[in-house]
Amino acid sequence: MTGRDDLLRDALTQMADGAVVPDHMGERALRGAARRRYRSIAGGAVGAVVAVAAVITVPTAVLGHGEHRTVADTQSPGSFVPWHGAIPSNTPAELAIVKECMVGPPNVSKTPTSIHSRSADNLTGPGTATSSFRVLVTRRDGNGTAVLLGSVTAERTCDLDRSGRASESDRRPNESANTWQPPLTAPLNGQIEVQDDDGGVMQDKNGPTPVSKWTDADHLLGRVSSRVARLTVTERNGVTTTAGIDHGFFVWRAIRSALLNQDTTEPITMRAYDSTGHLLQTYHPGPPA
Amino acid sequence: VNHEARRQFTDFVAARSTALIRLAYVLTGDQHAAEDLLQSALTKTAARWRHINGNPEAYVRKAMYNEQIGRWRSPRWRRELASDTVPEVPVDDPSREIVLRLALEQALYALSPRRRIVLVLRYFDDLPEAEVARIMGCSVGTVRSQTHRALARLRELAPDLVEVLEPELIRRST
Repeated sequence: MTGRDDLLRDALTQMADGAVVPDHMGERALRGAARRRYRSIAGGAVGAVVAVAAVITVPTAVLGHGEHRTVADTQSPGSFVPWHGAIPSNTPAELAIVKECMVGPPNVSKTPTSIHSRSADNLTGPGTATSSFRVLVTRRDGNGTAVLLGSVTAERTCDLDRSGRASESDRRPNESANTWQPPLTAPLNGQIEVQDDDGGVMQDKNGPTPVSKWTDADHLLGRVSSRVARLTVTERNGVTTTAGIDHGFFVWRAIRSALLNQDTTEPITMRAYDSTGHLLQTYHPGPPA
Repeated sequence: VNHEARRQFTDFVAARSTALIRLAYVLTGDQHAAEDLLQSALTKTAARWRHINGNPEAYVRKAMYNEQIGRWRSPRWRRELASDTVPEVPVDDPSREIVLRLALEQALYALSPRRRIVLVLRYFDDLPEAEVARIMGCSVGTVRSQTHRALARLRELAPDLVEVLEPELIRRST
């Protein structure tokens, strides 16, 4: 240790001595985490943001289930490909998206796990390298594109702005990915399977961008059966938007403006339809415990 | 988060909050900013608690580093830099060591957050270069160059610190 090192260390230590330990940080963090999850399954004015900025909601007709039909709803299933248990290949454009979204291989946490049995490091091996990730499904909206990336092992969402630039949080080196939960090898139970469905919407990002100005994006993601051709998400205020579906996966996001951010505990409803418009299943993502 | 996990999380925060707020403070140089930074990191940690493997403190620390680097990238953060210059240190001050230390503190605050983070990781957390590189997502060479630039910037901001920041340079010149 040199004199320079000592001086720097002492100076930093003395700076740290000026810190005051706040009270109840743990409780506040828990409340904040729960609030984020509640917000994620919220309706209210936030839905209006989605309606205006995301899917250009144009109520043109009322479906049999009382939902407003949107422009996005009227689109055909398009490139929907039934899920056959394999991760699709990337096109060159999709490969570019993966590279845009991932800076270095993601940290993939081992799951299922609990803090009782933590076993040190992140998962390695098949499905954890950047090259293992594919673009499974995308969903365009007025703020850009929500992307679900996945490998045989893990999944991650990525938010692109309108210029195709990934959010700052997505661009963080080795930004974490989550192991599929339930795993991809597990059979689907029903028509809709929401990933990590014990807290409503489990993905959230903080990512202000110069283009879109949004700060929070919440996602629903998971798998749907091969019968599902359209998946809608209805927030409490009745605004319905569609999730992107492809390769048997889906992704949906809500953009939250910092100015309109609000907390609410209202649930959302997911509805899966087949290609003839027949309702297959109504599903409520699990509320936070 | 079930009851047991909540209890474990709050126990963890209670046990480590002093060390964590100290780190947040040297990263931000401000009590309110430090609380915001730590609260944000803890909230993310709470949301991912049952998925965290290994040391949760490492997760919180990395969350703080990442967020602070993100703030550094934000134009808003750059506007918030308090100062770009540091007052000169009187040469014949009888309590020169103290004055030098105060000058160094001010100079550290005036560094860009990324450079400050490198110095914090190296000299406050005592992490090896390889670990710093892993956290910052760059090469060991970049860590070295960032450290070098950070020290050079400190010398610019507080010229009187040269003799303690570069002892070898002083020795060679005499």
